[in-house]
Amino acid sequence: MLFPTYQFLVFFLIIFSAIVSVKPQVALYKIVLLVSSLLFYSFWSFDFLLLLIFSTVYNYIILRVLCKSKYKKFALISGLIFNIGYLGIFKYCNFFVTSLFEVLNQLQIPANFPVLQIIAPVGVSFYTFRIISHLIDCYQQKIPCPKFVDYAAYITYFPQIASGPISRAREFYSQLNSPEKYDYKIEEVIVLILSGLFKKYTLSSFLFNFTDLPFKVPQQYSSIDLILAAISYSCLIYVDFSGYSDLANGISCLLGFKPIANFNMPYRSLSLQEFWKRWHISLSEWLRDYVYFPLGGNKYGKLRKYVNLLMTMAIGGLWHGAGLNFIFWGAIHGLGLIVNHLCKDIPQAIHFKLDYAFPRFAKFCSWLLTFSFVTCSWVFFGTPNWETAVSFFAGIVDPAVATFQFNFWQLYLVIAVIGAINLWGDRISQLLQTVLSLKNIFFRVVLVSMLVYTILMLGPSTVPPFIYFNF
Amino acid sequence: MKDREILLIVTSVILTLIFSNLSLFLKSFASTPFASAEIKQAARLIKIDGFRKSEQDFWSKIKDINFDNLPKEPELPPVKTATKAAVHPPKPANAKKPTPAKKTTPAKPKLTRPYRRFLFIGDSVMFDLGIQLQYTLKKKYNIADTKIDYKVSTGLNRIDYYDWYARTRQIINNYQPDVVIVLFGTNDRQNIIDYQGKAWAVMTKEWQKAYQERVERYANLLNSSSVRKVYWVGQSMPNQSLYLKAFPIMNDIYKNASKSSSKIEFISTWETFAQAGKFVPVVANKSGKRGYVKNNDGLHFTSHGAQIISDLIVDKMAKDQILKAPTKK
Repeated sequence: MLFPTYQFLVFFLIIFSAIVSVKPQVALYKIVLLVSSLLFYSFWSFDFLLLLIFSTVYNYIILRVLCKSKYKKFALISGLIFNIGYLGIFKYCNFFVTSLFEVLNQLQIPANFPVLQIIAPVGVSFYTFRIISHLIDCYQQKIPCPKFVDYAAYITYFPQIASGPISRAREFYSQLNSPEKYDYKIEEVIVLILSGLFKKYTLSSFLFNFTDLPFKVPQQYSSIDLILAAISYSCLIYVDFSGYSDLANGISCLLGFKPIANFNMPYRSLSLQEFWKRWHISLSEWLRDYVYFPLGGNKYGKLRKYVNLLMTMAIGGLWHGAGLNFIFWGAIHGLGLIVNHLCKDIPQAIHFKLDYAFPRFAKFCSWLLTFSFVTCSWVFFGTPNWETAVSFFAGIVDPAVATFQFNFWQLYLVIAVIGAINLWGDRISQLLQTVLSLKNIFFRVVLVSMLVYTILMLGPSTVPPFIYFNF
Repeated sequence: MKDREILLIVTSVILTLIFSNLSLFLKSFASTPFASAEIKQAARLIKIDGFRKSEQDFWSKIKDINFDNLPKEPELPPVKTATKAAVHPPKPANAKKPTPAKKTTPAKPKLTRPYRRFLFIGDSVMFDLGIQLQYTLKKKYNIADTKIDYKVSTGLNRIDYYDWYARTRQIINNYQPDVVIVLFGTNDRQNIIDYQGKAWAVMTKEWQKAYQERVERYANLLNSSSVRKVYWVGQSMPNQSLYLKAFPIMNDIYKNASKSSSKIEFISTWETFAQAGKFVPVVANKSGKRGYVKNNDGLHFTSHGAQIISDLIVDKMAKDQILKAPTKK
């Protein structure tokens, strides 16, 4: 079930009414929340639901062993193996099998593997990451062993199950067990939901058609079309994913949870390091805490730090999808971060301080360099394979087609709007909240209805699926 | 208090949306698991007008086709099956009757100009194949004037959802291709509404007849167009039991429709990925390289599978002297 649908609106109306009335009775509230989450997930597929229940129950047993017995390390390792294996089967099995097949084929060794029709359950990467971090947190005694209902409610929590944000167990449990709901502001919630709808329904759906074909058949487009398609894809992936996060956060607020910052105007970043502090924040922090730090972080010297950075980013790339292009995308971001760190570390080592004659121009150049790097890297992310990515770049340099097809003022306007969101998103949100903080309920209801109607009318009649549902 | 206000806002938003576009709401409701088969069937007759049309026009521009200058095509009457007049162009009144006694060898058609423009029409399966065809034609024959016109989740069944007749006429008028390659069927395995407005369950005899009408009408459209040659590519064996029964029936329909047309030739691909009547997941291409031929869904080609089918079509075109190897300077 997608958020911007009638089905979800009706589902939410029922769930919200039930949750509001039972929140003071915490035990009942948890059960209602858990049942709602399972019901929500069952709309995707009943088989997926069974897998989710199996994974939750099995991991809870491991967690009990980890917390209550003396075989903590054994429980942790078996839990990690199970979850990485679970993710491997559902997400990476075909990738590994076809890679092995290709290698054997190159060596001219006859091989016949059966084609496995494995479809990854919705949100498998997100809920498995939550399970893994919970295991590690319990092992490190950062959190006590939770009750089963609490644990199941955390893993299956419906606003975040399909595409995050990846919440942390400690914060989740403290809010889950509180008889008080998170004290949200109505205007804050409305702005989050309207922003999510506008980003997803209007902007993302519009940009989809400018990126879909150029990323599949770049040889059919001119140089300027391909540049516009690459910029459009940068914009698309931002509005698509941050739109989902806004909707998830808005719904979470209403269910009693504080919103989790996941995107903070990422395309205004002046360096790659800053970009990863603003882009998919919950994943960046997860990778930092559960991959980069356990690898040693920056504790064992500069060289080790750079290797750890590269490995963390390559793992992050693989998490996004089963394909060499995703690993490559992660690795080039890792290399970019290394260069970024070197630019800081080397002048520091030789006690050199750079003074720019034109600080504003220098800032602009930093921004341009960062945005160009991020945009070029998205090409590897968005194209189906390595060859298409190469022909995309080749098409920019030496296009097969000269006709400029994407010259539409609507496209420029949408890119400008997304640019404005990245530059002044916080101020725009504040302004909207002020406008919506009307005292008169009637006017507020009318205004919100009109805004939702306008957003939907500006969008297409068919909305493409969220990009991050694939991950 | 806050929660009540939120409830009020959500309810009013739902009501606003329902009343502002009731037809969209009904269609949306019909797509839920709660709707019965009758409701689903009835919902298909509801048309969402205005918004979709302007939207489609806009996106058509992106695909390099100027729809603005084209007149709206009138809806054609249903095709009468097995009428020769529909297949052959009418002869002039003073045309001499052929003398059956004299057996003359048919004169070879004189190719006044080479086949230069290639258009690939179909659904998402055609898209996978089209990319490979484009690559092969460019690499082997130095032909770059090719175009894929595809639309996912469409076919000849649901013309109410996507009108392939109108679309094909328009793109042929605009692009003026010499050769058209057609592949449909993947999304056509669903209930059908015939030209009399009657709904028929999928794969029944009535369904087959209605689908045949759709296909023949499309074949006639291609036959009467400026296109010089059409290849109708049949469905290859799927790796999905649901389609194992349907595709041979559809292939027969495509084959029969092609037979009644002078320009259209049917290319069978059913046996390409089959051995002893069973699907083979790994097949070797012309150079002996083995690889998976279908994706996880068992319907769409992998790039290796698309290459095999593409080679089959290209070989056929070379045999028909539509493709000629470029002369080396």
